[in-house]
Amino acid sequence: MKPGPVDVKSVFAKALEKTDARERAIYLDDTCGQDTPLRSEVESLLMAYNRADGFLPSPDLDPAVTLDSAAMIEGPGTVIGRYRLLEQIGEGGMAVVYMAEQTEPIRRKVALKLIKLGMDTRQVIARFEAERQALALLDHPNIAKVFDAGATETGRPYFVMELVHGMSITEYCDTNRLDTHRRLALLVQVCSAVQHAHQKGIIHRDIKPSNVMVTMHDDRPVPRVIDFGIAKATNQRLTEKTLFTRYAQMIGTPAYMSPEQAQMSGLDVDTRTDIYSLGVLLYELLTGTTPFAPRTLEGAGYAEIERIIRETDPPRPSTRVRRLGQDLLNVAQGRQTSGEALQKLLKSDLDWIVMKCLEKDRTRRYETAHGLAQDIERYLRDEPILARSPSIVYRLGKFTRRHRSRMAVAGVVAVLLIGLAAAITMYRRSAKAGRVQWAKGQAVPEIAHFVDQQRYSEAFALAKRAEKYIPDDPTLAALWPHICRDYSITTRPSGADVFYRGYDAVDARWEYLGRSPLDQITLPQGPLRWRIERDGFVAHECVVQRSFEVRLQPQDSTGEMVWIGPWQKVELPSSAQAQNGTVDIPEHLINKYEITNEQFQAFVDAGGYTNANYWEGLDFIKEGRQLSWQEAMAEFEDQTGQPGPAMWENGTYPQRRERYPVSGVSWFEAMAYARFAGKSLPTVYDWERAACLEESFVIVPFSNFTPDGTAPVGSHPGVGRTGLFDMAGNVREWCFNATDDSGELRYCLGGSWGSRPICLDTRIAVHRGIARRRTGSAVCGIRTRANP
Amino acid sequence: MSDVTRILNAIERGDARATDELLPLVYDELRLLAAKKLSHERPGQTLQATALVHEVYMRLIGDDSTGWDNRGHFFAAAAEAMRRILVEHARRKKSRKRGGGRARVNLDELTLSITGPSEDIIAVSEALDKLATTEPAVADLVKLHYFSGLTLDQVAQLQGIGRRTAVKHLAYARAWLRREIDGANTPHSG
Repeated sequence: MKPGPVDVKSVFAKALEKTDARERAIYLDDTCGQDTPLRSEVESLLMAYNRADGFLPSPDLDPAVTLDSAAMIEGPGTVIGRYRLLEQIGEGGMAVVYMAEQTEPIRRKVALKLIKLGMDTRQVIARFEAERQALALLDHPNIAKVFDAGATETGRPYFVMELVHGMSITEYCDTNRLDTHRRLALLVQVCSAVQHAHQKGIIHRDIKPSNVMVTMHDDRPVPRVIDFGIAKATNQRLTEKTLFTRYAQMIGTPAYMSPEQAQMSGLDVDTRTDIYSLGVLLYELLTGTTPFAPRTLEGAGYAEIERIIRETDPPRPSTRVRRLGQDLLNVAQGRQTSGEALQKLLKSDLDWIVMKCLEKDRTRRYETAHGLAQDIERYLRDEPILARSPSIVYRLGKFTRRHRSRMAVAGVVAVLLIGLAAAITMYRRSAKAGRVQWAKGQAVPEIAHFVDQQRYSEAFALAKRAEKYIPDDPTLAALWPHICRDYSITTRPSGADVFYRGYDAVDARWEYLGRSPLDQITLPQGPLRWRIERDGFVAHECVVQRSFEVRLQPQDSTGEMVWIGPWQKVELPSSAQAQNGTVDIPEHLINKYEITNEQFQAFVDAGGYTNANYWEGLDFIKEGRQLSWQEAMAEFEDQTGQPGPAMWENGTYPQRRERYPVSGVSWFEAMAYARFAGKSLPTVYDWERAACLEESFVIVPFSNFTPDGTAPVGSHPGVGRTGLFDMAGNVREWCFNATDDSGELRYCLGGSWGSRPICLDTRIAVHRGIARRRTGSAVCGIRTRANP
Repeated sequence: MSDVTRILNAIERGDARATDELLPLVYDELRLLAAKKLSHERPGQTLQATALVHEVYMRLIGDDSTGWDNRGHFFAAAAEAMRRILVEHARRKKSRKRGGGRARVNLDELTLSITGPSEDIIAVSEALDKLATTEPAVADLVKLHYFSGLTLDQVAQLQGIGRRTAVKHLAYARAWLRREIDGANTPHSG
């Protein structure tokens, strides 16, 4: 055996040089000797080499990028996870639905919903996972179960559901010409499904005819609500994005959207959003149209749709059918009645019930789906409904109608009074016993379970309800200290309305606490989200887990500002910067949101690029050469050569992007803008103080680090105790400071969309950028500071 | 000096965090550029993948005076980014085949598709990962050559090896990868 280390690579190379087979064998004998593992290794490589002809050819010849349209690639026969697609059974705006076969652990047919458009699959799955346990608890004859969710090989999310054969509820009713009573009876069943889900903590968020299927069971129609948990996972909100990139496909969806969902910052959604959508469904079942005609919504822009849904009162069903004109006959016949009779039928009770669901102010809607169902049932039994303000004449009218044949009018009043009193007493007694039983048997174990899972908000809400019925219960008393803590909230000026919700319950409704100052208020443990509002002042939203004070700032035309208190920073030496010492930072104001395109447009329109005052004292250096101001201005052009940010065209921002942060600006433009606004750029220290770096673990998960691009400012609730939006993610923000004496590199902080969410506390320096395109300014934006 | 150059310099100084920053930046830039091309070209047009990398290089680093050492980090990141893009593409293509080749034309959902250095880019990519555990330098050489589109001379210069060694390493890698992929396909070939 030859001495020295034996390297497979070099033995292989040498052997390869010996083209003659005998020579090669001799060489291998010589080199490897008895070392058979080495020899077989090299020999197998040599054999592989002979097979490698044409394998991995030189890259210059082959790799090419072609552009093609490979959009929908899954189809019948495709296997996705444990499911094999059989046939397409439906197609909507966001998704294609297939009948699919599952082979393990059980063999069954399922519906597989494949999301079409580019969504952040990880987020979709994560949101689904967050609700999976709750979804598993759904068990109701009118609910189709969601079994599973996952991602395809190509990275698209999918959901697996119970397969429901049937047609949509409106289609079923119309095909079978159901009269109004039978339509109402179906909706009562839908309500009970929704009620069940609400009790398990699931909000549907997307109730519409295509999500309520009717199947036949022993010749009886059974409505089944599908897609529970999917709207939340796919986060279908009425945003500019969903609206405008998907409008063509989502026809009908805005029609069923509640006012609070339509709101751009529509995070605050609770069970009453479903009540609203049930109201729209009821409206459509009764009148054949939705409260706002799809045509009206279709023709409107985003802002207009939002305004219509939030502000316009739809016509009552009876008014709507009266206005149907020629269509009235069709609609009435489809309900086995005449136009006149249908109008009469809807007028009064049904009008009231529907309109109570459609209240803009959700506190005036039915509290629960059950409440709605009960009222419909009361109507069906000719009893007084709750939706209507109960006048004695109205009640009397109902009473006599029910007992018309048997009752002499003279006896009515006496019987009514006695009967009513007795009924009320009995009702109260039995209801109280039932509630105590609920509190002890159901609520308390559930509270303990919530505490166990650190779901303090839910525990707290339930404990509050249970306490009313079992104030002295020892188990509940022992649980309280685990559930809550005391908070004091002061504001300057005082008299602000204070709301709160759980930190991660960004979809929950804001709970009203009271007017500031608030002293020693008992609330759930864990970080909470706060909202402080006072007329004439910037609304403040923050995440804090202790008592705090807020200095509210007056509304200001140049952008909403937030107050940041004074502090002292101890600067530690780092690898990049060998500084050491302390820095005193005085109190200051800083923009609540990143400067938007719309705000920057004001600067452009006011001649920002042609007014030398804003640029005074800035030395423009390009490739070592000092540029004059005019020369420098010529560099800051948009994609069409007009002065403006690099992302703009024709001197303005892309359509409907007014609330998006301005990006593609150099440090110079950030400086000029700040001067125009009467403000300045924050220093690194101002910025870092305001960003609450030590709280990045609460901020980053709710910030825009998605690969999809920028988002409207404030649409991601990643805030810390200071209450600033989008400090992390979305776009980076220019700071005043240079990193060295040359002044060419300036800090641009906070990370951006598409970057890894580690960037909040990483100081990133960017070339301040005469040549913006080459310096990565595409993800750089602006946030300004001011003195109080 | 651009953002990327600054990151490269930071890597040079041994700032480990900087490496984390580079790949996403280059990856984003590659995809952005591809998307931009997409908006200007008609479907079916062909672009050189290697040209794409070089254009990104010019945009991000350009004529900034950067040593070859430094550029190595960029091309390593670009190779990795391009490999990911190629594998993503291949996965998509693979599923399309299974789906019976049904491709619906939807102009809103134009996606970038690439024909890579091998039909079976996924297998190559997986095999490369294995090779990298025992012979990281050889695996890097393959990536730089095939995914970043550097000539063998350039790769040799970057890796500080002679051209002859580079040729030998490439031959070794091709044999090794071929064997690995064949082995994976026929696990009991004896």
